[in-house]
Amino acid sequence: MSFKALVDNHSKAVMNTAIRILRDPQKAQDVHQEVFLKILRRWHKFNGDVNWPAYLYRTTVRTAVDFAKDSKVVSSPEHRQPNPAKEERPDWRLRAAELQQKLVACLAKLPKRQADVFVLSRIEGLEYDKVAELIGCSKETARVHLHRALKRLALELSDYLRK
Amino acid sequence: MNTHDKINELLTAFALGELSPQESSDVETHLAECPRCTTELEQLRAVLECADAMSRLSADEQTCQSAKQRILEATASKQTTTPPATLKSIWRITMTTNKFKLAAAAIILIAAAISLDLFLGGTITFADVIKPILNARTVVLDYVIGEGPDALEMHDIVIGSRIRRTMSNIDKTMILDSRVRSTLSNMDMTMILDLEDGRMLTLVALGVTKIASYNDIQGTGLEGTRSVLDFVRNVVSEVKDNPDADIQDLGEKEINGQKAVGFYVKGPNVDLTIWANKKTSLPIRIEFAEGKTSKVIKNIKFDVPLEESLVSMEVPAGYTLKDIAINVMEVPAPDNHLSNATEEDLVESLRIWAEIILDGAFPDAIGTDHFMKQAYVLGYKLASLRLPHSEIEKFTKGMIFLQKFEFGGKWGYAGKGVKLGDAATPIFWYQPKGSETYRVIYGDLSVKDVAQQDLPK
Repeated sequence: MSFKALVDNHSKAVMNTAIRILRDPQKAQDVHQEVFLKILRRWHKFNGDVNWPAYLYRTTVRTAVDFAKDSKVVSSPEHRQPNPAKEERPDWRLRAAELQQKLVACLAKLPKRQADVFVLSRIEGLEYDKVAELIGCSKETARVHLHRALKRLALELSDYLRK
Repeated sequence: MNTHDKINELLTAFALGELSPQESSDVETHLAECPRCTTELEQLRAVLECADAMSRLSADEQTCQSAKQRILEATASKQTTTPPATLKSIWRITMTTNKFKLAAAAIILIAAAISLDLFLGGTITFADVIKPILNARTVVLDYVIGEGPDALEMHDIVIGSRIRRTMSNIDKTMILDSRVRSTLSNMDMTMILDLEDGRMLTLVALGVTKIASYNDIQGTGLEGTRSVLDFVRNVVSEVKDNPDADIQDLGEKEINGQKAVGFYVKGPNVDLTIWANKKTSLPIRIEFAEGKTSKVIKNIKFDVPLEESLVSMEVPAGYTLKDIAINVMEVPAPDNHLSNATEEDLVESLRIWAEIILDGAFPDAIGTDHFMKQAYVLGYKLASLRLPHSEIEKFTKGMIFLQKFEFGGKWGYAGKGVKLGDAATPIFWYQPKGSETYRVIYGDLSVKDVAQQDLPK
């Protein structure tokens, strides 16, 4: 596969993952660029066996989480699909954006595999077997990682959530 | 474990909607009267709702196109740089440059050597070697824990998510009753593990007496029961797509009469050395170390045809099914168990070793290798002493606490020959993370802070 074909095939998925974590299109583009440049720099090292979706998911999640650490809260309504179940209040959007940013900051503190599983399962919406395949573990291990991640995130955010 | 703790452990599964109707109803009943669990559940749900809101975000077409354009433009110049010289281009340079014409014969020889090498299968890459580790459905292996003639050996036959396991070289010296020791020595024990259902069928045969029992294995027990190959698989999965991974080619050596090529892999938590048959590229030996314990996986065979009946969970003919009440595998969920293990648990473990298992003396050594070698006998002793479940749990937690810093922390043990109650003799010391002083446990199980220069030599 050529590098161009790799970008053609996976560019959108990388952008979507990045924007879900960062909410800011500009920063998501920066992550997109960083991820593909990183691959290009080492293009000669890859052989035909690379599981690109798995590699790209993991690299995008980690790069985006790193980007998010020092970011300011951004509320980007134009990139959010409406949730009819949620009644909008003026402060809700900022509060939600703030919570999302705190959640991402907490993700950065989790063991990498737990953070990967949380993002793939709850933010990317993948089933346990797909998550397990992407990170290279059993379905049961993926489940345990998700449970641990969820518990830890709730604990880390408990002070904020009590406000 | 009381009802609150039990229900509390189910909260994440409840929030994720993974419980059965009966379990959900139990949780709901408890929530009606427990404000702490109710708050915890609200927090879990808030995290899930937040993630759910994030999952609904997506990049619009224009942003995607512009990102793609940006990367392709940024990389266009790099794409047009000179490609590496191929054999064909070397040939062209050689034949069009006078200076090199004389070298043509040599080039032909090199070309012949390259094609001969290709014909023989070419150079084995790390990717070739890990393929069977990642993909094999059936595996047969021997797993050696520790070194020397006393090393514990585990023999696994893995078919999908089931394992048929036998052990050899189990240390029985701690069993002082010679009749029990000799009985255990003549006993054949086979475990059939169903990792998907979390069940284990144990088959014990002593002469004509053949007993079978079923146990549930959950949490830490289940994780610790997996085939060692699962562990190796996790390490290689972690490094295989990581271009920054440290993978070194170790060259060739002979292993059991077979020419082998080796790779050293620096994993996230452990380093592996994988030796593969030079002809077939199939791994034949995998070495790694955890803390001070060396571990070797050898005699590995991948995807060999095996009878499914080898891992049948049915009780075989001739065996009588018994209900075994005590089950040391039944430890609580890993989260709670691992993160809560403390120094007090280790002190309790040492107390149980000395006071209950060894009649007043501390063990000669502690550590994962020692614990694993002794695990079966310890299980037998703990069961035969009819210890309450809470004592078994404390004992296991102490060992887990030790493991937390054993792999990388600073610690020492000198309990050999020390009697319980000896307040003057230090038996164990470790350096907590971030601390300048050491915590030292003495023979009377008192604990003090001690400066490094005052530690036992």
